[in-house]
Amino acid sequence: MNMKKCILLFLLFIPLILLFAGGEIYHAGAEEMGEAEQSAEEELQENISDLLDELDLAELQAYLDTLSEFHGISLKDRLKALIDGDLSLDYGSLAESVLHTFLDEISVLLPAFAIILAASLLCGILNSAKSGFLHSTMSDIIGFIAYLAVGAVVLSCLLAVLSSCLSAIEALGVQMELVYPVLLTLMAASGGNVSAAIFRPAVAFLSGGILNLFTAVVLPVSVAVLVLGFVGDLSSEVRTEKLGDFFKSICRWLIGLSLGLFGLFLTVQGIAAAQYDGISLRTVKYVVSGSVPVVGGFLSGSVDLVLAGSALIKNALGSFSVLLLAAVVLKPLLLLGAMQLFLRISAAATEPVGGKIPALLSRLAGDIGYFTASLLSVAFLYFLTLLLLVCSSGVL
Amino acid sequence: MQAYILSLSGAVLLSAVLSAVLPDGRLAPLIRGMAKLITLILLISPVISLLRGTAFSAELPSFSEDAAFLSACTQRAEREEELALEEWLQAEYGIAAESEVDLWEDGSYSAKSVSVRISDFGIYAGEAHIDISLQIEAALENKFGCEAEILS
Repeated sequence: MNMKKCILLFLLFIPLILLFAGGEIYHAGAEEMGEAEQSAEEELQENISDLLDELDLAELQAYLDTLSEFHGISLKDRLKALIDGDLSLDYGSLAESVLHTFLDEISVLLPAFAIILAASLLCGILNSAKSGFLHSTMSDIIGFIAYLAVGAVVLSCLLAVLSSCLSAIEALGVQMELVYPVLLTLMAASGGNVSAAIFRPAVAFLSGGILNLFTAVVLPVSVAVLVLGFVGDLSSEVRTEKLGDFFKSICRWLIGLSLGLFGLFLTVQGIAAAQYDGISLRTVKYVVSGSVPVVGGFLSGSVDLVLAGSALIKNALGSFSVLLLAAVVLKPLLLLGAMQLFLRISAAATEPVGGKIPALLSRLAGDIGYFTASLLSVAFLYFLTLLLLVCSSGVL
Repeated sequence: MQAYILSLSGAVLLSAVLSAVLPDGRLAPLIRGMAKLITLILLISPVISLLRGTAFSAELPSFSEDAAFLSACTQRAEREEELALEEWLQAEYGIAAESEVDLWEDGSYSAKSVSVRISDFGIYAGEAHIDISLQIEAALENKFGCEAEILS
C-alpha cells in the first residue's frame, strides 16, 4: 500500500516537476533570445553611427544653418533621432505658428486695403457725379488715375509675394541638388544600385529640366497673365483679354503636363526598379544561404548590417527632407493664400461702388492661383521623388 | 520680372494717355498705332527670348554617388565576409586561414576576388593538402561566383 502511494505521488508530481523545469528552460531560452536581439540591435546602432560618420553631410549641414527654422541643429543627431523613432513634431505649436503667420500677413495688407477702399469710394462718388457738375472726360481721367493707384498698390503687394514664391522654388532646387546625391548614395549602399541608376537621370531631369521650365517659362508667363489682367482694363484702345487667355492656357498645359506625365513616369519607374532590386537581392541571398548552411551566415548575413544601416539612414534622410520641403514651401503658400483672400475681400467690399476696380481685384485673385499651382506642382514632384527614393529600395 | 512689369505698364499707360490727349488729325491714328505696336512687342518679349534660348537652359545637372561612402560600406562588408569565411573554414574543414575578400564598390556587394592563405591544415597532412585546397577553391568559386585563390 505504501509502495503504491509512493508511486502514485511520484506520478502526480512528475508533471509538476516537468512544468516548472520546462518553464525555466523556456524562460532561459526567452532571456537568451532577448539578449541576442538586444545584442543585434546594439550592433546595428553602432553600425549606423559609424556609417553616419562616414557619410559626407557637410554641404547639407551648411544649408541647414542658413535656415532660421533649422539653425543650430545637428543633422546627424536629428537623423539618429529619426531612426530611433523620435519625430518630436509639436503639432500644436506648428498650427499656432501657421495661424500667426497667416494673420500677420493679413494685418500687413490692411493699409493697402484701406487705400483700395478709399480709391474705389472716390471713384464711385465721381461716377455718380458724372451726369451732374463734372465733365465726363474729367471723371474718366479721375477714374483712370484711381484705377492706376489701386493697381500700383496691389501690384507692389503682389511683387513681394511673387518674389517669395520664386525664391521658394529656387530654394527647392538648391535642396534637390544637396539631397539627391546623398539619397542616391545611400540607395546604392543599401543594395539598390539598379534603382539608383534608374532614378539618377529622373531626378536630374526634375532638378534641371522641370525646375527650369517653371522658373523660366511658367512663372514669367503667369506674371504676364497678371500684367495683362491689369492693363486690359486700363484703356479701351489696348485690349488684352485674348492674349491673357492664351497665356493662361499655356500655364495650364505646362503645369498639367509636368505633373501628369513626369509624375506617372517616375512612379512606374520607381515600382519597376524596386521590384528588380528586391528580387535580385533576395535571389542572391537564397542561392547563397540555401546552398550551404554556414556558421555566421556569410555573404547573406554579414552584409545585412551594412544594408540595413544604409537603408535606415536613407529613410531617415528622406523623412527629414520632407520636413525641409515643408519649411521652405509653407510660408510662401500662406502668403499667396493671404493675398488671394485679401483681393477677394477687397473685390467684395468695392463691388457696391461699381467701376473697374472690383473686376480687376477679382481677376488678380484668380490669376494668383497659377503661382500657387506652380509652387505646389514643384513641391509635389519633389515630394514624390523623395517618397520613391525612400520606398523603392532597402527591402531586405 | 519687375522690369518687365514696369515697362509693360509704362507702355500701356503711355498709349492710354496718348489716346486721350492727341487731337483728331491724320497723325493721331499713326501715333496710336505705333504705341500699340510697341506695347505688343513688350508684351511678347519673354516669348522672343524663350525662342532664342536665352531664358531657358536645357543643361541638366549631373548627380553622382559619394564614392568614399560606398567604399567605406564595401570595406566594412569585406571585413565581415573575411571573418565569416575564416569561421566557416574552421567549422567545416578544421583549418586555420587568413582570407581576403574583394567586393565591387557599386553597392551590389558581389565578389570580385577571394583569396585564402591557409596557415594550419589541421588534421590534413601531406598529400591531402592539395585535395582539400581544391575542394575549398571549388566551394568558394561556387559560393562567391568569382575566382578563388588558395595559398598556403
